[in-house]
Amino acid sequence: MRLTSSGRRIAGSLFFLVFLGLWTSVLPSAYAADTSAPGAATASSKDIVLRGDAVCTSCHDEGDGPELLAIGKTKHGTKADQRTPTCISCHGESDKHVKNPGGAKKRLAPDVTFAARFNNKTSANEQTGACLTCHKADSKRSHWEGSIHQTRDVACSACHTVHAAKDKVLAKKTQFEVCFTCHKEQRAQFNRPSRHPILEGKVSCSDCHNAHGTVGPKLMKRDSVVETCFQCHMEKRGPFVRPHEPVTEDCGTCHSPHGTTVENMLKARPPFLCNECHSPHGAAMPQLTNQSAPPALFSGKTGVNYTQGRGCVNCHTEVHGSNNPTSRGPNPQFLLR
Amino acid sequence: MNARKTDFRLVLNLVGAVCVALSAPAFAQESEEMAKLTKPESSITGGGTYVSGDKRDRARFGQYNGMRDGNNYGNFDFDYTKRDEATGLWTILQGRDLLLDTRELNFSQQLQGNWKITGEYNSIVRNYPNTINTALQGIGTNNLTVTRTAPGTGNDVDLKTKREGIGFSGEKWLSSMWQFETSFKTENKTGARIFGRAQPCNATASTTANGYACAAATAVTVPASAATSGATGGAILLLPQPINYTMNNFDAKLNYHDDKLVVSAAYYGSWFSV
Repeated sequence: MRLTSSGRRIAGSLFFLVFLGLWTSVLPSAYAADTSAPGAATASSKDIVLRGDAVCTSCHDEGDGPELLAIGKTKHGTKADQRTPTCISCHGESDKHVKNPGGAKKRLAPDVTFAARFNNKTSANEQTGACLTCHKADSKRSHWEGSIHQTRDVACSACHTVHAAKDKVLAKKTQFEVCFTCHKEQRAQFNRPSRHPILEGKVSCSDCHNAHGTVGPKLMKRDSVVETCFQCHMEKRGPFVRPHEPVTEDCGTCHSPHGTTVENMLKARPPFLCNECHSPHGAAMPQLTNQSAPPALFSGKTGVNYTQGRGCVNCHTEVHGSNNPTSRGPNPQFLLR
Repeated sequence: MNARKTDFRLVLNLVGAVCVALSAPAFAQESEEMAKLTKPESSITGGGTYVSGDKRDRARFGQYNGMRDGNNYGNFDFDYTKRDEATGLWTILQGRDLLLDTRELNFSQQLQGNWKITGEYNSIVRNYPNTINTALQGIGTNNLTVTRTAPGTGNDVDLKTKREGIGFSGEKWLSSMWQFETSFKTENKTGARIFGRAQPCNATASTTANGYACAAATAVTVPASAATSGATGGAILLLPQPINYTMNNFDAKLNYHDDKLVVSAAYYGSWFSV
């Protein structure tokens, strides 16, 4: 049988419609299996991850940049929260990037870019501004303006990876990797024998510092260095009957909290550290003059003026302060036990 | 020729329709793959570790990672993350290093932009990297005694301290401008740290109250002008100092934000007990 031209069209269309019907009857059940998926919830609008992202994800889909879609796994991808951003909220309208009016082989970058690969023309303040539009209303970031990171043009994206499911800087075990990218002196210090357990992920940089700005020095979380240290080392806080002044001024006078080669993160080994402020017992240390015994004329108090063991703190055990009320020997005012 | 053309078109339509039909499960698979790319995931990680050498070889390596004393360790981590797509409620439960002494557990639940609560358990073990030789006996008991022996002839002891802490925090947005935050953490530190004193050495330890009989190699001669009470030299007496501290920190903060003004009223309290 020979079909006319119109008959052929009709027959072909019928075939197509039959199979289209079959397909549409199967498809809903397939989608129903995963109705909670963000992509499914917005299938009608062709948005994949964020509200109104179709204009971007029509190109930047799972084939082009699957890592970009991971923003759906983050707090930014929570569509139930109406405050969460669209692509445009952070990257701008980017008309020239979307429409590519000149038909250039390489499109212009979006209006606001954050990654270094764009040979970034977006200033750090503009980048940060995109984030602060929403995030400034939080006490943890209330001192961003004027903070050392802000004044040195460190944008949020220098530390935060917004499109990643797990932002490294937010996890205790990986945060130091981000901080060490710039703070290389501290990286070297944390590889010294006496240090806080940063590399093991038991303490994080943000346990002591607020990188978003504080009223304290050195971006300390509390108002001073000592207040910050006393959160965990409270036994050294006092108040003591016999105080040692540096303990209430700055722990960093004697300790380098990022790490040293001397036990207890001391900056130098006693007695040499102590001798920076205090006169040694006697005028000379025998070890410094390559002698095994102190000269008779420089005996020092009680004759104990050597550097063995823990140095000065062999006897001055209460170096952070003593509550011994007595004024008699063994002289608690000298922070002896 | 015409008939052939007609058949060809019909076959094309048929192939197209079949492709579309076959694409239904493919769409379902694609949807699952898309969910993997865009939806929060949970994970479980397990493993084992063999560490070579003995515990003194691992003095630096095992200082904080909980792997100093033995050779074989297991490890188990998990990360449960769930987001309710309808309400935006996040529930996160994480466990790290659960088979080690350095284990930690974290819980948080958050209705984004409304409220957030967290809970935390954390354990930090610090193994003192140097082995000390001490004359102290009864370590770990309530009956500590120092036996007067010559330096270097006491017991070799490896000290450690352990911090165990639990913490809670809460956050509530009272309005778009008012935010209330609070947190509480209590931490207990136990163990022993190095302590000691310099000690004069006497020739006859048994007859002098403060005296220790010092080996010649460990003693430093005291000049005659300073030698009092019959001391003939000096030595270091290293002792473990028992530690049992409890530290509590409490914060409460009320914050106000608008375009030009940020104000916080806060209370910070900390309590220490031995």
